[in-house]
Amino acid sequence: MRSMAKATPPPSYIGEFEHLLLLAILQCGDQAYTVPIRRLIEARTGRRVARGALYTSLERLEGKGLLTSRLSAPMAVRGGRARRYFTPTSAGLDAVRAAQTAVVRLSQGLETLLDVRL
Amino acid sequence: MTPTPRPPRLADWLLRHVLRHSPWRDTVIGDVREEFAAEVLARGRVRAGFWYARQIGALVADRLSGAAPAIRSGFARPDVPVPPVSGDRFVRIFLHDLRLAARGFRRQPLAGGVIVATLALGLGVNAAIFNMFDVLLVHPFSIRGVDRLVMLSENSAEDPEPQESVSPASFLEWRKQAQVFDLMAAYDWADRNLAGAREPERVAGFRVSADLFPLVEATPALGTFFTADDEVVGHDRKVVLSDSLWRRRFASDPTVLGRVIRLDGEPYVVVGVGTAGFSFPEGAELWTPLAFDAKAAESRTGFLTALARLRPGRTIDEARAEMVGIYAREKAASPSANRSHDVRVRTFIAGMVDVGMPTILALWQAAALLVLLIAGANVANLLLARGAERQRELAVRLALGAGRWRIVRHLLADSLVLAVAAAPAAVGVAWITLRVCKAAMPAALVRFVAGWNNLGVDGHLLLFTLAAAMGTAVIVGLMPAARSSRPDVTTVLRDGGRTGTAGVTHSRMRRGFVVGEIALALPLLVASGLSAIGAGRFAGGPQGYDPAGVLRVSTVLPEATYASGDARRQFAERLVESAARVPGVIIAGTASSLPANSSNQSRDVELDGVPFDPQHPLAVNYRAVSPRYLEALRIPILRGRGLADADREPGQPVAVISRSMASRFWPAKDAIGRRFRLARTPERGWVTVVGICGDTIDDWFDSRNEPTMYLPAAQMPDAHVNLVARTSGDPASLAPALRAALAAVDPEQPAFQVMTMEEALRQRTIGLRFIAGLMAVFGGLALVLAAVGIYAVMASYVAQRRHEIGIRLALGASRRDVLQLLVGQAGRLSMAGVAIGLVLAAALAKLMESALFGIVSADPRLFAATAIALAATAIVASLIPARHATRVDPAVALRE
Repeated sequence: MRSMAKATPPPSYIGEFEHLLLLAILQCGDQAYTVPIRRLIEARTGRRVARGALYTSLERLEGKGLLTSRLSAPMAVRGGRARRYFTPTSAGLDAVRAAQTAVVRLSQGLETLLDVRL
Repeated sequence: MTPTPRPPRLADWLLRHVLRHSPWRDTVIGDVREEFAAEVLARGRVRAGFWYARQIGALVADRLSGAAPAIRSGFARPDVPVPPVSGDRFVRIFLHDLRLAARGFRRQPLAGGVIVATLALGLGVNAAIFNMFDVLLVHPFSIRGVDRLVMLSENSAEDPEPQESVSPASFLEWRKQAQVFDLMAAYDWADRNLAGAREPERVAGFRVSADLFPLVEATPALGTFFTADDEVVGHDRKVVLSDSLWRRRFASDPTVLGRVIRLDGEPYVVVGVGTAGFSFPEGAELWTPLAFDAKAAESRTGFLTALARLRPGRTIDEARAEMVGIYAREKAASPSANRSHDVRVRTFIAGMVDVGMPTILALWQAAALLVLLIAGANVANLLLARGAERQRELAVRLALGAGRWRIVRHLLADSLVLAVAAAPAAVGVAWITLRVCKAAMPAALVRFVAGWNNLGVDGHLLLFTLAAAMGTAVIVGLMPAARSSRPDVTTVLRDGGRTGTAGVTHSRMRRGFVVGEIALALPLLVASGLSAIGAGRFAGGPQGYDPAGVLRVSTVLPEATYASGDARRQFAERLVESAARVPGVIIAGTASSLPANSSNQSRDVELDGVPFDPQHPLAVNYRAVSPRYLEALRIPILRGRGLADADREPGQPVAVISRSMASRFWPAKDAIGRRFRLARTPERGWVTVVGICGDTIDDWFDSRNEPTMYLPAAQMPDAHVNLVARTSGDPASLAPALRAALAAVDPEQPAFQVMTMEEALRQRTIGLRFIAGLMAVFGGLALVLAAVGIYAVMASYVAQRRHEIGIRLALGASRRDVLQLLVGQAGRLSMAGVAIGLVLAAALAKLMESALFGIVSADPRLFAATAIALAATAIVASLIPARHATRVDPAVALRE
């Protein structure tokens, strides 16, 4: 009898913007709070990030268990409010990896056409 | 460390409010703040402010549109769609409705434009009158802490005027005893002759107690104000100059302090200069201390205006209670106190504002409201017409399952869009109205209306306009919206919206609006007619004297240089002689008070044989005149003789009295030869009546034909000398010559109010003409709006009946028949409107008769003429579409 391999849950499907968000959070490292995340995406992708979309997507990623967040101490420069720092969970890392892999695999053989410059 | 910059407050508040339920609230606010701080460093405060506002705007838009659930409320569960919150859905749908409505009006710019213009007119005039209420009645004074100021008065119930009513004895007593106030001050009108290197000038001045300045929180720009030590006779020769007088007469000389100037012939030391713009009481250009000697301090004659400031935490009711107690003790202790007087405590503003002002403003507001109602009826009509045209569209929507509420909301959005468009235009109308009003008021009179210069578009006006626009839009839109949302779906769809059946109630409502418009326009027209006739009669009608060709010049003889009666008599006589020598002057005369003057003189009289009742004295207008004064003004002598040069013996005083005085005091008998004396100066003896002259109108707001006595100035020399000169040519051209004639008698005496009698009359009736002018504008607006409304209703009525008219014409009706049918319909509507309007007009006329002190009298002929004019306008307005209808080609109309 074929033993049933324990089914690992497939990595969560993430949308394009969520993908970008997770990458940006990884890039920011321990400084991954909302302001630099948004700045980084805007700087690197050249597209404007609406605040509403940013918070909504972060909330959704956290809800899916792909991110965790913690609050800093209140800061004067923020009018006495705390920063919210984000860290990807291992499921989050898996999801990014899966998405990246999909992109890379699907791009194979198209290097000349796509002419991706980093 | 640099301090954290504060973002714009309003935007900040908005953000906190919008995010109040969001768990992301602190994060979002913190982010925006942090980035704002960076923006300030990078781009400066101002640009960062704009940046901040843009961020908040985007967040609010996200919040309202529901695009970003995270900033709305609650955590979004993964994979569970967030159910739309009904509030947001409502907002979204409503925004959608608004966009649709705006698009609809862009497609029909003419109809939209007419509605916006109509609303703007109606709202604009209301906003302007609101501004007058707000500025002239609610806060006419820009004094800090004005809420704690009160005016004290001492008067009888018959004389409600609180100013100039308090006696020195009362004021000093109150100031000593009252605990509820921390400051109490009094002042007395005291215009002065200012002499100096330049030509002498009459300057508006006041005698004030030292505490008046701190009471109104005034500070000197130079030097000091008065102290309690200055309120002592002998130490009171000090003067504070206003900024305007200091600039005009003293060339802004900073060394003016300590200089001695001559006021009324006496030396005063300049101790201070007020700040620019400070002029309290209104119009004051100089202030001297209010000082009483022992005798004056006991005087029970009321002439002071008394103000006080409540201690912090004390109320006006406490002040009333305390003052009533003090006054009761005072009356009990002093036998000379007037028994019929009572002490009253009012708010400062209530005391300062002219007693007639609220009534006049109420009249204007009523008129403006009528204009708005008519405008509203017009707009409702046009919206109803739009609803009628859109019946088919609405029927389709209803048939497809749209709720009625949804349709009503859609139609309401129509009117809201119009209101939002009309509000800025209304502010424009208000701005123009206020500009015109301000320009129409002569500078000389502005000083009598506190706050007049502050009229203009302000925050209150903007808020009012917006609120009124919204309110009007909802009310005006509600009826047509409710009506249009209930078409009979099957009928409309089956008949393509052409039959009359669905439109029956519709057009009944529209006809109702037309009747209403006429009913509202009629009282307004009658009111403007009444005030125009009243103003015309007072400004241009018979005055009892002939103002044409007369020049007047005023001067006041100061006590210091003209203490004796002889000196004053000689001055007046020499002035008449000097003026009579001027080429072009036919007759010259003097009087102590003139008609159309800003002040009056009156004396209590005691009739020979009638016991004098000090509680109910007989007050009579008093004029001390030169022998040829009556002749110069052409006041006719009706019986007996005029005054003569020979009437100068102090032992045998004589008088000419007005017809009204004769008929009031000696109604049954011949007044000639009767005697009376002046109650305050009985030692001057009995005055014998030698002649009766015609009545004059002295002032438009006094009732006419006041009893008046003319006594020879030679027997009763007065300090007030007003020269009148009847001239053969243009009286205005003789002004320099008459000034010179005055200077020839005494170069220290300033000439003031140098103007023709016609100009004086014009200035005196400016208030009345102002009321009439504004009422005429309202009446004109009402007429135009009503005409437009009737035209619009008839036009769409005809358009809806084209088919029927075509049938009638095809079946042999003549064009004349059709014209008769349509005009007859308009005629019946006008008649109904006129009938209701006449009832309203009668009520408004009653209000005006009481508001305008008997100047207007409701004349049935005016009612009739106005009704006919309005009905005629209505019929003419209906003629154009009716004639259009008769040109319907039956063949074309039937095929439609």
